[in-house]
Amino acid sequence: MTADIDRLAAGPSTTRSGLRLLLASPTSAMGAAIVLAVVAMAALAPLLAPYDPTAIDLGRKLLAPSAAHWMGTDQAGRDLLSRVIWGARPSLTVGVGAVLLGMPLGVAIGIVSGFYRGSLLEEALMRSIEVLASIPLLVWAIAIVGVIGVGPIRLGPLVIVNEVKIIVILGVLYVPAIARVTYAVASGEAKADYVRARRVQGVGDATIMVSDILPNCLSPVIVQATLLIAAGILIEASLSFIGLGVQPPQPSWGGMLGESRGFIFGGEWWMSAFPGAAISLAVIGFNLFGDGLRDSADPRAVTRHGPMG
Amino acid sequence: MSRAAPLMELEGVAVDFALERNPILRLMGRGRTMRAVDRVDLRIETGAVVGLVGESGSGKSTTANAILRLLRPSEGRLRFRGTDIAQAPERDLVEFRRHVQMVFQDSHSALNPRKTVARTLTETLRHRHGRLPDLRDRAVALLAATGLAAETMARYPHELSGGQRQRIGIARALAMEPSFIVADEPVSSLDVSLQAQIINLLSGLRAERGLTMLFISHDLALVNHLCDRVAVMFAGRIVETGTPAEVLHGAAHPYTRALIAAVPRGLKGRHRHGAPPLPRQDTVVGGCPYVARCPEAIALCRTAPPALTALSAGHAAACHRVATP
Amino acid sequence: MTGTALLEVADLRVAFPSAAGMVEAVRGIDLAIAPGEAVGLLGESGSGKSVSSLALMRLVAAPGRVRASKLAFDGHDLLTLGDGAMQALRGRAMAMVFQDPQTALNPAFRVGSQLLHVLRAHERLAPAVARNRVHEILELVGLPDPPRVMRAYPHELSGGMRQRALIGMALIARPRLLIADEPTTALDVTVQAQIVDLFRRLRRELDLTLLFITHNLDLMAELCDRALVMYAGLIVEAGPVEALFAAPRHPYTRMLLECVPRLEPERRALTVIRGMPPRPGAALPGCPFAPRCPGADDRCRTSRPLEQRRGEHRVACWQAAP
Repeated sequence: MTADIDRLAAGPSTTRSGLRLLLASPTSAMGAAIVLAVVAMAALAPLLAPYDPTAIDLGRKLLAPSAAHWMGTDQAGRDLLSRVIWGARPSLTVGVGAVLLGMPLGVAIGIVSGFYRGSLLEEALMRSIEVLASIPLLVWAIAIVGVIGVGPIRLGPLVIVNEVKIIVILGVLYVPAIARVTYAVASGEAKADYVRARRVQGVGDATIMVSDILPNCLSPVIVQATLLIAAGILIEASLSFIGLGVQPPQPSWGGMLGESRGFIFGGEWWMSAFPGAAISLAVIGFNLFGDGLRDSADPRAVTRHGPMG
Repeated sequence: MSRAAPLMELEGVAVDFALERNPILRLMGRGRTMRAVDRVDLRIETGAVVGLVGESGSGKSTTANAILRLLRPSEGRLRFRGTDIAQAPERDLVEFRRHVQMVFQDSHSALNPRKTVARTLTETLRHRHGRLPDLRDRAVALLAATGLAAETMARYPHELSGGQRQRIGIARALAMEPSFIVADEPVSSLDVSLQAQIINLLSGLRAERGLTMLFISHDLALVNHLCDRVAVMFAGRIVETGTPAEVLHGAAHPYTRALIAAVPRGLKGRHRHGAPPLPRQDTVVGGCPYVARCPEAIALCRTAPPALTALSAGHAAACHRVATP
Repeated sequence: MTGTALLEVADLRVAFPSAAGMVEAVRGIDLAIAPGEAVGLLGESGSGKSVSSLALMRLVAAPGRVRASKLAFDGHDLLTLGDGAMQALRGRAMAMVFQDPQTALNPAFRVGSQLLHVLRAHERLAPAVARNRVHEILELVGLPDPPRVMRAYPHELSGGMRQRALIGMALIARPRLLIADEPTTALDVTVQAQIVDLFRRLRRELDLTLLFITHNLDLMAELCDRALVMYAGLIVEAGPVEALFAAPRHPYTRMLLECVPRLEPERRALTVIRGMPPRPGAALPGCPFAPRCPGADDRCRTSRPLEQRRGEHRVACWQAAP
């Protein structure tokens, strides 16, 4: 009987690698380049910065951009370029840190709720998430830091600086966004026949959630995470702008923007332009990168057919 | 007629679904429910191919889910090799799960889109046999048994045709070395010219491996071709059972007759007339569920649900007109 | 086929862009439908049958490309017609019913408003008159209680009722030609029989011309007068259904008839057509069916068969008896 059947060949692989797709679109390539630049600045700040960002030199204050100081100097004579480069650190730390903190819990809640959709567990989890989501990020962050204070907290040997406080607050507040994205995928996949097939084999729910559902959730979660990094950068900048974020003399883009307030009308445009541009470009870059990831991550989204399939 | 215990037997199996959204009422057990499967009796003898026929809403897929213990029946007994597993906890079902597998309708969700064919097969083999050194070889052998070349291993589901995906689904089911396979509309989504390939494959594998099969379909001609026994479902109940000759060529129940009349006949059907538009299948309280559509209904049909009445040794129908001609 | 054709198509080709350049989904088909006829277009997935029907209505959007040496409807040359004029023809002169009633209706709007919307796109009518027309059409398609159906949302109707509503929507502007693309595939078999009945009645009562696209041979034989069998973008056989069914001349048609199980008491073995249909864009130097045909010879594999006619019955096969 089996000799009667043709051996059906599978044909050549048509899945193009995600990386090539990512770089194929000009906007996502640009986004990727910007993200790379920000990461490089943060990681290699000591090597890249021409001057010590905290070195005060009142004799060289408020200098316009020149060969010696590409972005000029601020009111304390500190080189702006170095401060911009070092400023990438708190931005990235908060942005990425908050996401890394919120992801495990968000993904777990999303998958469990999606898998047990229709159950009381799902109702309980998702309603709690919604309560958390109703809290506006920035307002809450301001409120908490305002109450706790900006100084470092000593817990025995541990010193919790302001950045960490912000990371924790944001991480918790990010859980709903990540849980929702995960839930959307998980609840759809939980009904799939391949999940039923695993159940019929006798595989336990936990294994199915990790081995089958989780991989399908990863790409939307990563896209969401990238967008949340962008949001985190903006929030860190906003908090530093009003003095509730990274404390001086640590350089941060928002802080620099805050300090430049008194100098906008004096003609020292470089003090607000460069940090402002840094914030904008970083946020745009991460957003574009996230969009590019969304398109390239799905193995199915690759071969596009004609209008009618 | 065999006196040996059937491989699988359903006795009075019912499945209720909760319709109530209010969590408090649900917790209290007072929510509204819908009965998708209504006290079904079904015998599946070892080595037989039994066809379960019905349209959408008939409850055939829910019955399949109950047989596979993907849900717990609300009532009734589910005997596998004589042991009732209807309410058994999951940990007692390990042996059962080894013996009973399913082949799904090839939707886009029958295979995990993020796993290669190799991964899907080897993880099933590993679950069945533990960590063996030759898992990959066994997977390739399974592919060969279903007519696929070894290079299929590295492919993702979206790179393959519907027919190939269906073969992989069959290979996955065989990887567990089952004795009983439930095939739920295994060829409905395939092109006509490919259906015959898959049907022949299933037939051949069944003969080779001595499998018992429950073949669920809406396609009467297919069931006629493949099955030793047929059961017809309507609104969650079995309305007729028997051999294909008895049920499809000597149908006793009005619904079975309506189903048969509706099958396209080709040139011979050019002058046939269909019945007027029918109301939806609703769960009817009391009485025969088919009463709203039945051209032969009598007063009794509205008040008393008919039981399956034997017409001959193997042929039974649930119809008052049959019981009291 | 005698008399003036309502629809005339010659050498229709439809191509789509792909990684490997433009790929032809339809490789040159000829088709003619006389007024009042019911013609079946039979084929499996990948045969190009659905794409052909979309091309007829000029619904193939760029970057897809439609070419034909002739594409005429009721005297209008569809190849040179402007977009506005084509828009007027669609729905008014030729209309289409799609396969999946679930997705063809907008779930956010009531059925009545969708039907009214279509009607108003073609005719200026007072609201009360328009409403009556919709009621009429709903009755025509066999839906009881038209006011209730009009008020309902699509998800509140059964599959069969939705399909009837869709047929009503297609017919509301009184087109001469109705193209039905697998209209019963998603429906239960009892509902399917009713829809087929509906088509028969509509042909009689409205003198409707029908192009019925399906993969189900038995269904097509019940409803259609003539049929064309498509494979890999080409028509391999065409003719009156009686001839096609009783004496098929092309191996694909023959094997298709034999591979489908039937509701007969005698069980016969199913003929298996080995292999798979060619992928779109696959090079086909000879007959497209040659790789799967048990009787194919070298000529079949290298040159495309010429069409042979025996009266109304034409076939493209080197092996067919003249």
